[in-house]
Amino acid sequence: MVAPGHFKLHAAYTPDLTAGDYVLEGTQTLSSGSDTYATEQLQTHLKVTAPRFTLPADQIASTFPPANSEGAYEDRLPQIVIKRRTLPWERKPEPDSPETEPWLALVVVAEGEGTLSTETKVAECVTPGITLTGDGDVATSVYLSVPQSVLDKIFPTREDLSLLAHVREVDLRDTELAMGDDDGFLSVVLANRLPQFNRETCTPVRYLACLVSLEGQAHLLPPPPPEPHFDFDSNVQVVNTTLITAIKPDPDHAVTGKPGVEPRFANERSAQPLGGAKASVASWAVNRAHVEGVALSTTQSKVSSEVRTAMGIGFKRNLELVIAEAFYRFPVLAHWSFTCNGAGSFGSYMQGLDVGLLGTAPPDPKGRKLPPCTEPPGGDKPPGSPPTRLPPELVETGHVGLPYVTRGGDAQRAWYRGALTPHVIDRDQPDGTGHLRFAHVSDQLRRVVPDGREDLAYAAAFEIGRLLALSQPAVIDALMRWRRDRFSVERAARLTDQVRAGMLGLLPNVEWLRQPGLGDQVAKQFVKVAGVNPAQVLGPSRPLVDPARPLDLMGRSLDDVLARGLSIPSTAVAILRGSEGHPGVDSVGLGVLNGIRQSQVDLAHAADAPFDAGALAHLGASLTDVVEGFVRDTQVPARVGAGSFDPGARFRGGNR
Amino acid sequence: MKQLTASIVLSALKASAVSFEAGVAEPATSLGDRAVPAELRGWLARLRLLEGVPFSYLVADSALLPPESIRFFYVDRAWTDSLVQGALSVGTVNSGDRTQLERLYPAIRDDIDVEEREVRLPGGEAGQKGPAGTVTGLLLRSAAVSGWPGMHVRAYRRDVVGDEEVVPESHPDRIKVLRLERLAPAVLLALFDGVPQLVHLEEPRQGIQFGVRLTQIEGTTQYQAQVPARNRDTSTTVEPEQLMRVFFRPGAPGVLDLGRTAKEFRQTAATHIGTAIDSAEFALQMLRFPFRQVFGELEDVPMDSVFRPSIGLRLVDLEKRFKTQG
Repeated sequence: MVAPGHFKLHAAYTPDLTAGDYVLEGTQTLSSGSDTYATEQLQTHLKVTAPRFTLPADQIASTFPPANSEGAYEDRLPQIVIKRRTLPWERKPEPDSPETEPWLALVVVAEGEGTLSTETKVAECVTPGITLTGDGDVATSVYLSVPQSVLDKIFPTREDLSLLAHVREVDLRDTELAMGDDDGFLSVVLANRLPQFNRETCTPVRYLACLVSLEGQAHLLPPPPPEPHFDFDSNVQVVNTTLITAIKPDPDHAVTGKPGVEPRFANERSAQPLGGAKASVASWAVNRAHVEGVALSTTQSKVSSEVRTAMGIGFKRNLELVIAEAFYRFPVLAHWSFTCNGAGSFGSYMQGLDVGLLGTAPPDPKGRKLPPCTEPPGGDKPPGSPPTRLPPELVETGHVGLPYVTRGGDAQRAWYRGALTPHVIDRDQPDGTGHLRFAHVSDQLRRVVPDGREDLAYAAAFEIGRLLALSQPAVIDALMRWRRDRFSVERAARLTDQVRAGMLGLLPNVEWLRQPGLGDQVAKQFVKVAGVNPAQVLGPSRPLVDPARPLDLMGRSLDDVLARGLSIPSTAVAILRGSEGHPGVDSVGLGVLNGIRQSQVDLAHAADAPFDAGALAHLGASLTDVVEGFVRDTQVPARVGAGSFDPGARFRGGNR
Repeated sequence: MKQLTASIVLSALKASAVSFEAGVAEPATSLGDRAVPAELRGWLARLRLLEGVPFSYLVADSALLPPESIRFFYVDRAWTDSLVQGALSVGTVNSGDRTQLERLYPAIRDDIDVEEREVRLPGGEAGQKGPAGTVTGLLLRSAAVSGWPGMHVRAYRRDVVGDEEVVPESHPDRIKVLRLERLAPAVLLALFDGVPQLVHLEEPRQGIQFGVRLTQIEGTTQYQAQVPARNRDTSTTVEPEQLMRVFFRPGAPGVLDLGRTAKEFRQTAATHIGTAIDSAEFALQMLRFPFRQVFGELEDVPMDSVFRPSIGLRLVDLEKRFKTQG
């Protein structure tokens, strides 16, 4: 057992039985006295299975760098952590291998250094000419195909293999290290390569990490380098990447000459060399986004296989078409891709930080050495352009002078300081009565400083708070409910306390008056009572139709006007209107006048209003105004003046 | 025709009062000794911690936070109080509401002071009690923020904890983090509940990592790497630090020559490896622990300008300063 936060490293955990077919033989000797009896020999066939071409996804505890991640990994060795502690030693790379030699290696290839195949029959997943005996765990898998030169340069040597796999024992309670393992023992396979990025162009480089099987192929691994090297050149290319530009990303296309299924992300990047000096920034960004898109868009059951396929994008070019070398295939049990974009370690960034209090003058950009590649690559900014903006107007208090347009429209400058200041600011303290300064509108917080400018810091803060509250209906609702349920209930309770003596008989229990929701309850109850007989409680209901003003018929009969306007005989009008001589219609109460006649409306009496000389003069003047406007707008003064009736004239003048 | 009379209203009130008594049984949400309802309290406390406030209102000019910089600050309590007052003003309609709010405001303010410490309580640790004090914080704008998501930020009142230890947040010398958030991919905001003497920024601990110390040879594109020796028997770094060279394979950047590197490890006596090296011993030498940057008044840290004692400024003081500035 190990303590939380601690872990133990073990060199290897070799299984007692490696994968393969076994025969269990049992013999029994039966004897009684001097007699012996023959017994049948037991022969049981036993098969020890182990992953061979594919690692089940649930066996991977973690990977570093995280799959599809992007970061400064150039001083870290990629690793894969496998839950099964014996897995790296469950098979033998070569028949004569020692027990502690693992059959797995983690190989890290950059774009253009190797080809990741599509799903292939497992028999074809190894270098042609090599056959693996025994059963495979799956029918198809993927393989990594690399030319001789890449094999020699980046694959581990035979001697390296046993240094690269070990077992880690962690405390199960330590979730960070155990990551959901069942027994606390995890096997770890390290890569032998520090991922680098293109330091010349500050371009990130995308890598594919493959857990490959070396079973039966360990003799292909390169010999140790003859000369010791203490350093490496970060700009050396493993493969001449300019060669690869000719290959379409789709292998079908390259082989058959016909376009195969176009990859969804296909774009102009295939026309550019990969990893070379001109590699586009877009390519890794697109690939990364593509993997994320696949992960989000596929169904639950397919997500792991689809994401796995998507990770291999960019490594599908068929290098065999352009590189005239021997190619070797290695079965890939697991693979993931990541991007190395760093320009330094975490430490170098931290040491390079400009340290200061907020509100201090910014450092001179020329005198400051930023870590390399800090600026995002490929920006549209021309190099070395002089600063185009003036330095900010800063004072020691942390205030910044900013352009400000007053409500009157004047362009001015005002002082502003955000919530973050370089000095301790005294907070308002309550006065002797416990009272605090409280602003109800932002203008209460505007200050004018002696240089004549306004200090708008607190006024702006007030407005932001107000607008943030207003932007969320839930907050507004909570504020209003608070006021309604708490403030008004409190007010009602205080009021009740005052009138309590006189109302004791009416209100037996006063405590509940402090409960929120009483106001609503009273209102509901009142509506119920009022609803039983509204005419008694609330007064008579309003007539459905308001009486119209008396019609000015200009000396004609109403029947005639209606008949002319509607183009119908005047007798029909008389029938509809319910005039004398047509009692049948009149008795059922049809017609406009009948409707007016039947509704009972209290009208204000003219006698009630004071009517004096002043009112009369005012009325006369208003009337004159109206008439004059009427005449102007209608543009037919003669007809109005002649007193003829034209119903349309009223509306012709527009909306007066 | 009956008029709407006081007796009708009173009888309706009485009827509702009688029927309401049944409803009293279900407990109304009681505020207890708090002044602000819970749903509002949380929102106002987060507003206090500047949640949702546009960044340009926090840092008024981009020159105040240049690329690759860290800026420490005090939080202006008067500013955040104004922010809360603005939010509270939304609920007022008439002068009666305003009077009530003004009378209640001291209680509201104290209530949010308590609440703002309960917004972020990681790992079920107890919140801090007592009257609200000075809130400080830092803004970090660096590629380190985007490159290492999940960076650890810790603040300490006193340097009693040694450089390599991690103490829980409830430790009395550790200052609570009130808010820790990435405002933009490369901008990190942290608010501390107190004035720290030391601030630790630490690389996230994503499991265990293996690697080297990479150094560029000045003026070339060549890189060298080293690892500090660790004692195989005690698993601790050898003191004083003893660096071992890492060998590379020619022709491929970054590919290690493990055979020679392992030999170098073996031949370094301080590692106590002996004559043969196995993968566990090799891994032990290659282990890399997270990098920790310490900001504070320590030796060899160029931090003299950070958290120096300074005088609080009120409007009166402001006037003086503006006057002398002309």
